Amino acid sequence: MKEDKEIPKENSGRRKFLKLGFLAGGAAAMTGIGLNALADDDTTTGEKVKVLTSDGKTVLVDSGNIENPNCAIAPAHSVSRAEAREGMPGKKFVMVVDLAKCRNALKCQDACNKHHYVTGKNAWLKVYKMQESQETAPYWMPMTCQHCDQPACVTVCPVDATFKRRDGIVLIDNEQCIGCRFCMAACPYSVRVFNWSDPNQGAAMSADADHAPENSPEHAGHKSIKGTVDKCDFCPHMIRQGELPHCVTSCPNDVFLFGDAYEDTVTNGSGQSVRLSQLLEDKSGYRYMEGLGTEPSVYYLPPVDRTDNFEDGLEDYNEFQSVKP
Amino acid sequence: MTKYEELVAELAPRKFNKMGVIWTIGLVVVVLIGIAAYIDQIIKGQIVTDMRDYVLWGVYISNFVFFVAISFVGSLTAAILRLTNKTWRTPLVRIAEIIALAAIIMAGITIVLDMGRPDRLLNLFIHARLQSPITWDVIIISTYIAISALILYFPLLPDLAILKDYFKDNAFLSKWYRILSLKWEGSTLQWAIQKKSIKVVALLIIPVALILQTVDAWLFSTTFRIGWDSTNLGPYFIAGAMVVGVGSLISVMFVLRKSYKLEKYITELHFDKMGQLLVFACLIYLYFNINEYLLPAFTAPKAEEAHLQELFTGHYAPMFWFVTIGGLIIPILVLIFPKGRKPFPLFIIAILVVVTSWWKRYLIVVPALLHPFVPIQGVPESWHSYFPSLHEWAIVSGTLAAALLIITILIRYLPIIPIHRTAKEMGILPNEKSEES
Amino acid sequence: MRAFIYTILLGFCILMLSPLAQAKEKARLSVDYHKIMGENGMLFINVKYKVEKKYQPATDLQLNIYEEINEDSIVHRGQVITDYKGNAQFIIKAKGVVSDELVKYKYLVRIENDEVFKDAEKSEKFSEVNLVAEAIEKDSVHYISAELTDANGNPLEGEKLQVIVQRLFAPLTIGESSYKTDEDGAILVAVEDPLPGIDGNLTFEVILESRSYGNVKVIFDAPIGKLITDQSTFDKRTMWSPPNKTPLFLWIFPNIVILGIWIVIVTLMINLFKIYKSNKQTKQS
Repeated sequence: MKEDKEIPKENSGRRKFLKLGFLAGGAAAMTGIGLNALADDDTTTGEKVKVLTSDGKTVLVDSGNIENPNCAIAPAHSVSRAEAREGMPGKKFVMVVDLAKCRNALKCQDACNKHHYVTGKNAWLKVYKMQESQETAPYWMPMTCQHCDQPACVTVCPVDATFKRRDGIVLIDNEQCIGCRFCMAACPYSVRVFNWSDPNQGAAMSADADHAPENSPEHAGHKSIKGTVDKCDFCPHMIRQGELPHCVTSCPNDVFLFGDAYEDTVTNGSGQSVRLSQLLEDKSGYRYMEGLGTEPSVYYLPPVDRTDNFEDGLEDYNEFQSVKP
Repeated sequence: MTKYEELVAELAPRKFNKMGVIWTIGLVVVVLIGIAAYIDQIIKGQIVTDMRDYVLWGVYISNFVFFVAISFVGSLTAAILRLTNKTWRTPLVRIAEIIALAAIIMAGITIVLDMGRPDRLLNLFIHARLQSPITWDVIIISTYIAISALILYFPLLPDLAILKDYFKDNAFLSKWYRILSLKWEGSTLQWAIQKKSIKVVALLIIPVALILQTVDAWLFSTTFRIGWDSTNLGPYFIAGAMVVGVGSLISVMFVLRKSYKLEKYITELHFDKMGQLLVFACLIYLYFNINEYLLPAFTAPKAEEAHLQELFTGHYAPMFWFVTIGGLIIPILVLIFPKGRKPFPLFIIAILVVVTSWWKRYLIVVPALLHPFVPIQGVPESWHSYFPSLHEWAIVSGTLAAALLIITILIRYLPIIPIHRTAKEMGILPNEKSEES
Repeated sequence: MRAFIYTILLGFCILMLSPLAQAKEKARLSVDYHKIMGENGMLFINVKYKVEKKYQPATDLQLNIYEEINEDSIVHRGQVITDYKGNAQFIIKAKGVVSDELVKYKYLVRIENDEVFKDAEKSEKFSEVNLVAEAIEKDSVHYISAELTDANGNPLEGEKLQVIVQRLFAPLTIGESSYKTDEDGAILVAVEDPLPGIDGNLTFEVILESRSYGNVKVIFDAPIGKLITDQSTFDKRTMWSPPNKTPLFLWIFPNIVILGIWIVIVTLMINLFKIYKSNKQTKQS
C-alpha cells in the first residue's frame, strides 16, 4: 500500500497543543452544555476525566468527548444572568498591548466589530494615532476597555447596570441600563459607546452562523439595545471556550497578549505564552493614565525597537471612521 | 367697602384678560410641540438629538441644571426672608415659592427626557445604588419637591379660606378653595400649628436647598473631566443658583406687577432691595468665576489650557463673553447704582441674567465633553461638535413653556400676594384676632 | 446532417453534465497519533479541502479506519465522522500483547465512496513508548525528571522532550524549547521561580513529538507552585459594588439624614391633617 504524500507536521509543539486546546474548546462547544448528554455517541470510551467548568468546579466528562481532557472549560451557552454577574472565580484577566509591534493593520478592530455585530459609528476597540507632543515620536495605540479594578463607570451607575466581576471583567447588563450615560461621562478612556438609535443588527447577526442564541452580558452586542450603553467585554464568551478574545487572535503582528494574571501567564494570538511578570519587567510595561487611580487591567509595552514604521500605518488610518459599513 | 374688603378684591385672583389667554394658549402650543418631538424621540431614539458618544450630554442636561438652579429662589427668598421677619418681603414670597415649585417639578421631568430608556425609570428605585451621585440627585429632588410644596401650602391656608368666602357666588371655585383650605377657620390651634410648621419648613428648606445645589454640582465634579473635576463646583453652583433665582424672581415680579397693577404692594422699594440682593449674588458669583476660570490659567496644564482657550478665544468665545459680560459684569455695573435698581432697568438686567444663566449652564456641560483625555478619533466629523437639533430645541422649549405654564396656572388661582399677611401688616384685619407676630 | 447535429448536441450535453459527475473535491487528510500516558491512544484526524485558494474544513464526512496487520491484510477498526471543524478522533485500544521485538502499528484512514470527496487515504505509523515523569527537589531547587523507554523498557536516547506547564489558553514552556534524552532515556529540567497555581498545584506535561512514536505526553501534578491570593474586591464593600454591598458609611449617614428630613416632612403633612381635623373641635369666639 502506498502512503500518501506526507503532510508536513507543524513545527511548534506548542502550536499543536494550542490547536488541541482550541479543538477541545470547539468539541466542547459543539456538544453544548449537556456534556453528559452524549450517551449514544460512538466516541465514548467509558473513561471519565476531570474538566474545569466555568465556575471553578470540576466535573467528570467522558474522555472521548474531550480532546485535551485536562485543559477544557465548559462553554457558556446558558450562563445564567447571576453567573454572568459573578464571573469566573479564581481568575483575573489582563491584557498586554505591545506598542512596538502595532502598525495599524486594524484587523483587531474588524474582528471585534464583526463578532459583536457593531453597527454604530464608534468601534469598541480603536487604534489611536498618538503623539504626546511635537517633540516626541508618534505611535499607534490600540485601546479597549481597560476593565479597571477601581472602575469610575461602575461607581457612578445609578441602577447597577454595569458591574465588576470576580475575574476582573466589567460588563454591562443592557436589560437594566436606563441610558443616563453617566458611565460614559465618568470613563476617562472614552471606551463606551451609546446606541442612539435602533442598532439594526438583524442582517449582521444572521450572516454569522456561529452566533450563540442567547442574550447575555457575557456576549456584548448580542444583542445591542436602543438607548443603552455598550463596550468591549474582553470576550468572556470566548474565554469560556478556552479561546482568546477576537482582537488577540486576529492581530497579524501579535500585538495583543491575554491571560490570567493569577497564573502569571499571557498568551498571544499565535498561541505563544509568556510569563506576565517577566514580560512587564523586561519590556517596562505600564498602564495608561495610571495617575488617575482607576487601576486598569490593560498593560502597555512601550514602542521601543519598533517592528514597523509608523508611517506604514497611515495608509489605513481614517480619522473619521472606525466601523466599516 | 371696608379697607379690608378693598384689599381682598385687589389681591384675589382674577380672570385672565385677552393677553393672559393668548399667553396661556401660546404656552400650551409650545408644550404640545415639545411633547410631539419627545414622542418622536422615543420612537427613533436619541439619534434625533445632536448628542453623540463624545458630547453625550447636551441641552437636556444643561436645561435640567438651569431648572435646579432657579428652584433655589424658593429657599433663598422665602426661607431667609421669612425667618428674618422682614415685612417688606411679604409681597414677594409667594411668587418665589411658586417659581421654585414649578422649577423643581420641571427639573424632575426634564431629567427623564434625557434618559435613553425612560421605560425603565423604576430601576432608579428598585436597583438604586447609593454610591451613585444620580441616586443622591433623585433623592434630593424628590425631597425638595415635597418641601417646596409644603412651604407654598402652609402660608396659603388662610388665604384659601378668604377666597372661599370671596368667591362664594362661584360654586366651583368656592368648593375647591374650601377643600384646599382644609377647613381653615383661623382658630388658635390652627394658627399655632401653622406658625410652627412654617418655621420648621423654612428652617428645613435651607440645608435641603444647599444639598440640592451641591449634589447637582457633584454630577459633574465626581468625574475626571477637565472643566468638571473642580473642587470649586459645589459653592460655584450655589452662588450661580442665587443669581438666576433672584433674576427670575425679579422678572416675574415685574410682569405680574404690570399685568395685575400691583404697584401699591410691589413698590420701587422692593425692586431696590431685590436689585441689591442681585448685585450681591453676582459679586459672589463673580468671585467663584474667577476661581474657576482665571486661576487654572496660572499653571495651565495642557488639558486645562486647551479647555480655557476654547472658552476665552476659541469656538465658544462669543458665548463665553456674552455670558460673562452680559450676565455678570453689566449687572454688577448697573445695579450698584440706585438708578439701576429702578423697576424697569432692573427688569431688563434680570431678563439678561436669566438668559445668560441658561447659556452659562450650556457652557458648563458641553465644552468639557469635547476635551476628553483620549483624542477624539474614529468617529464622523460631525461628532467633533455639537449644536442642539430641532428636536432638542422643541423639547427644551416645551419644558420652559411648561414651567411658565405651571406658574401661570398657579398665579391664576392663587393670590400672588399673601392676603391675610398683608392685611395684618396693614392692620386692617376684620376681627382683630391676635396671633403672635 | 441531422444526425451530425444531434451527435454534437449530445456530446455537448455530456460535456456540460460530466463535471457534475466528476466534481468530487480533493481532500487533504492529516492523521496523527496522540497518546497521553495512562490512557488509550487516539488518532487525531483532520480533513480539509481548498475552496478558492482557502482551506475549508470537511465537515460531516465519514471516514473508515483500518489497521494494517501485515503487508497484505488490513482490518476494519471503525468509523468516525468529522465535526464542524473537520476534526475527528479515533480511540485505539491498547493491545495486551508484548513481544521482544518493537511492535510497529500502522493505521489507515480512508475516504471511501463519498459523494462529495474523492477517495483518499492517509496512514500513520507508530510504536508504543513509555514516558514517565515527576517533580523532584534537589538542594531546595525543583526539577522535572522524565524517562523515556520503549514498550519493552529499553531507554530511548537522543529523543527531544519538551516540558510545559498547563495554563489557561496555551501552555508555558519550562526551560529550553526541548531537551535531548541521555543514554538512560532521561532528562532533568530545573524549575526556577515556580509559577502560581491553584492551591499551589501545577500541572506539568512532558511531551515527545516524533515520527516513530507519534505525539506522546505524560501529564502529572506537582504541588510546587506559588499560592494564588485572590485580590478581587467582589466580596468587599466598595464604591463600585452592587447595592447589596454598599460601603457602610454611605449606608449609615446619608440614610440618617434622609430619614431625618423625611420624618420632618411627614410630620408636617400630619400637621396639615391636624389643621383639617381641628376644625371640628374648636369654636371661634
